[in-house]
Amino acid sequence: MKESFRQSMTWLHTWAGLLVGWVLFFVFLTGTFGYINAEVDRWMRPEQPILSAPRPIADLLRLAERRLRLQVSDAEFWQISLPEGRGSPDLYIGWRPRPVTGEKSSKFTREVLDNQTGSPIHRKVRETGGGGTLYAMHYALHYMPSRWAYYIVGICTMFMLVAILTGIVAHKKIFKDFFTFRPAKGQRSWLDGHNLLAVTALPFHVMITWSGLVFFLFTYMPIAVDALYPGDEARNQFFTQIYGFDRPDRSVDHPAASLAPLGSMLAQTEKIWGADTTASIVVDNPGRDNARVTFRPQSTIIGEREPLRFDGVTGIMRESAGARPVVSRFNNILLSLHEGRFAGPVLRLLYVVAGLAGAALIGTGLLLWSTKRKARLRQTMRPHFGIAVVDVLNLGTIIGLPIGVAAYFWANRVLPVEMTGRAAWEVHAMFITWSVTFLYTAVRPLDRAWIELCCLASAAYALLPLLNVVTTERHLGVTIPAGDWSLASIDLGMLVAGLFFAFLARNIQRKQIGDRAQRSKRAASRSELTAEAAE
Amino acid sequence: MRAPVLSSAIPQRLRRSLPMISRVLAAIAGGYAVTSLLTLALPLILVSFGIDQAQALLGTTIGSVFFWAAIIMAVFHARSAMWAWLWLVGAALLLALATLFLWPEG
Repeated sequence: MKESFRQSMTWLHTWAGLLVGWVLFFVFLTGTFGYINAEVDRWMRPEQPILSAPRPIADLLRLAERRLRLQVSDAEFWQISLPEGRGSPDLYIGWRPRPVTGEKSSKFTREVLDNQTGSPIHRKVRETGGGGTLYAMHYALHYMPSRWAYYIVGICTMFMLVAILTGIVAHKKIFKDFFTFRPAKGQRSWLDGHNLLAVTALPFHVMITWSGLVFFLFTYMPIAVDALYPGDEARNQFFTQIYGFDRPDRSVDHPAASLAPLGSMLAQTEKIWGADTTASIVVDNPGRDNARVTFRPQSTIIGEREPLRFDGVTGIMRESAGARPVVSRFNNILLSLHEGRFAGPVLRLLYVVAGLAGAALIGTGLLLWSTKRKARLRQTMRPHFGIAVVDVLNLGTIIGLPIGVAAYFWANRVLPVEMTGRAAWEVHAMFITWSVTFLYTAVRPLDRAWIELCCLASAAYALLPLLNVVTTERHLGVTIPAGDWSLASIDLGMLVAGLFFAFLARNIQRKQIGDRAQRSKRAASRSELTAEAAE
Repeated sequence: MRAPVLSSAIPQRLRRSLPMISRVLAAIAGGYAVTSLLTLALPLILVSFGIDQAQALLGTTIGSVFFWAAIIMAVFHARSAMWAWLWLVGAALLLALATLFLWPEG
């Protein structure tokens, strides 16, 4: 299109990035919360206990099994969720009874068990969307059917992939850029920052974008499956083949048979995986002769442990299906890398940093677009409607969305605990606040609005740990002495975010003062010239 | 006699942006169609080399997003929108032929 390949690709990079940049910023920012969803979940339910030293899984399993055998000896399935390092410290059980005749399906019941006595706890916990609702927005958006959202996010993700690939081509000297940062130089600094973020985290950006598309692979690319595997049955068989689903037997006419003790199955499992490595256990058809027990491991790096299955009546481990085919394994690896569930604290922090770097990459790209065009227009001095719109969208998204997210956290603490529709209003608070920042951006002079909103964002985040002190018993003064770092990390992260926005506000203000001084100097020299010419 | 000049100004502006509209369509719709055809044809080709069809389909589809991205990049680098369309139609025909030729019996 242009003279050289690089020029065409630079053009494509600019426009692919600009058109969907704001949606992508939203996706990256809310998606980053997926790496700390369990921690945010706990933060948003301050009624839950502080993490305590975990009890051996064998003891917990005994309590859960006793309760389930007593409660529903004959069920469609049981489920036991054991406490893991990050998530809730509670022991959960759940079950779905067999449907009564005439009933299509029965209701799933869930209980929290006291991990000392095994009796159910009826703790009053506030209604909240928690980290789950926040991070689900990055693929399901909100206020619309999720299927539409999958397509919208999918299209934007495809733009991202094109922007990444063209960005690589557009770069003349990718390694030199790695060592180049010229701060406080206006357009040049945005470009250096953009390049630095892009190059350092390039593997992450490629991985996260590609795997994001792979999550909804056959939703986006359905034609070949429809053609090669027509009909529901063939289709299900295909998915079983590639994803290794193994659906439980749900036929109802199996004779009764007593379930072998789960404890001995756990012992066999731990002989393979090591002690205290089970995350959850599902028992299909307990009390029937087709009972089946599945032990799922805590997430390890790239799913090297496959779930283990037992015959529920004999208690004998079933032979594993053997190694999965290579493409299925590759698919698994991509998806695990995206979710990062295997990550320990350090890697998890890196994931968060990389996610935020992705958001910053998009943000700096958007700002670069408008700075570049303004520099070009300065010569003609014409105001430009398109640039004004981009400016409002940029500020309203790059600073406004973080303020909206802060509002989501504030709402969790400020809304009355007993309020009906509380979880929904937490989300409304986020989007109402975000909309207000857009309005504010549209009516205020742009330079002022940048500084004011950065200050607001700084306050909104920095004050959250304080608000937490006032409203709950789960603040830093409690969590740090107790060594509950998973909970403390959220408050500490908020403080860091507060500092970041304060730093941003200060730097932008300095830059604006510098710009103004330069402009008046230029104007002064120009009038001197005209004065000389007049003489 | 000024009015006709004014009214012909709008189509003219449209006519000037037609090549770009055509290119965008080629990249998105044409690219998607050719990529979809690839996810159908390539597994069938791989099957004839003795690779499992389900695995071949999964692998091809996982990789196909890069294929689509490459098409988009090529379309925006092509000499003209017309050339881009010609290449796309050519690729689609080839892939469709391969699919028809290798379609499983029965």
